[in-house]
Amino acid sequence: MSTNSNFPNQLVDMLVDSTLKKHGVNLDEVTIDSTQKEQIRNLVESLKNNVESLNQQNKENKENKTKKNN
Amino acid sequence: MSKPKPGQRRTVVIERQCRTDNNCDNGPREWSALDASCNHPMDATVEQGQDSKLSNAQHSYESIVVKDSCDIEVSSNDTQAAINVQVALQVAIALVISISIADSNTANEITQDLNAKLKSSQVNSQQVYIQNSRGVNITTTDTDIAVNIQLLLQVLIAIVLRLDIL
Repeated sequence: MSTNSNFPNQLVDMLVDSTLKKHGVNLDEVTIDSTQKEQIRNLVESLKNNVESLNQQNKENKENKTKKNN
Repeated sequence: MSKPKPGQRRTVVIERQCRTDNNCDNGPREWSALDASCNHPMDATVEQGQDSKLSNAQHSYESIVVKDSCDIEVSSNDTQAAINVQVALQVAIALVISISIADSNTANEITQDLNAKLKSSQVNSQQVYIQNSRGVNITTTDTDIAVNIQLLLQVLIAIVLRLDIL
């Protein structure tokens, strides 16, 4: 899954991995039932759309501002 | 206690000693420094409550002063929508961790650790002062939230990828 990342994925991976390792947790071994997986998948997609629409809105605001100034 | 007569000196000694009775567990009570059995409220060993997940303070101070000016246009981007998305992402991270980790204490600790590391500047202060000006356009935006939202989304996706959900 690709994201319009502002932060390097390596940084985020290290952050998550080190935190999980500190508490002795390995998420690869976790089993979640298919219903919950589907719910989480929908939740993440919905939040991703929200963030993208906010970014788009900010971008449009900036463009409008530039046009006004020109 | 009787009033001292002229020339008489009164000495008052206040003695305090640490209490050893274990009263802290008997329900909510004010924390006492003298009670050895009470953990300090700021002590790291005291577990934070469930509400701490949502207790990140969000402050945004904006002050725009226009004085002796004309043709001034001010537009301030509404950051409420961005704050809502940020809180939703924080809740989602906490939720996914609590679903995937059976031990609630460990799940809480991991969520708190992540929130502590992701905590960027949550206070945004903007002050604009315009005096004796004409034809000025001002647009103010809280960029801190936009940056934090992007990072939170990436962390959520990273966790979900490890759970083999996406």
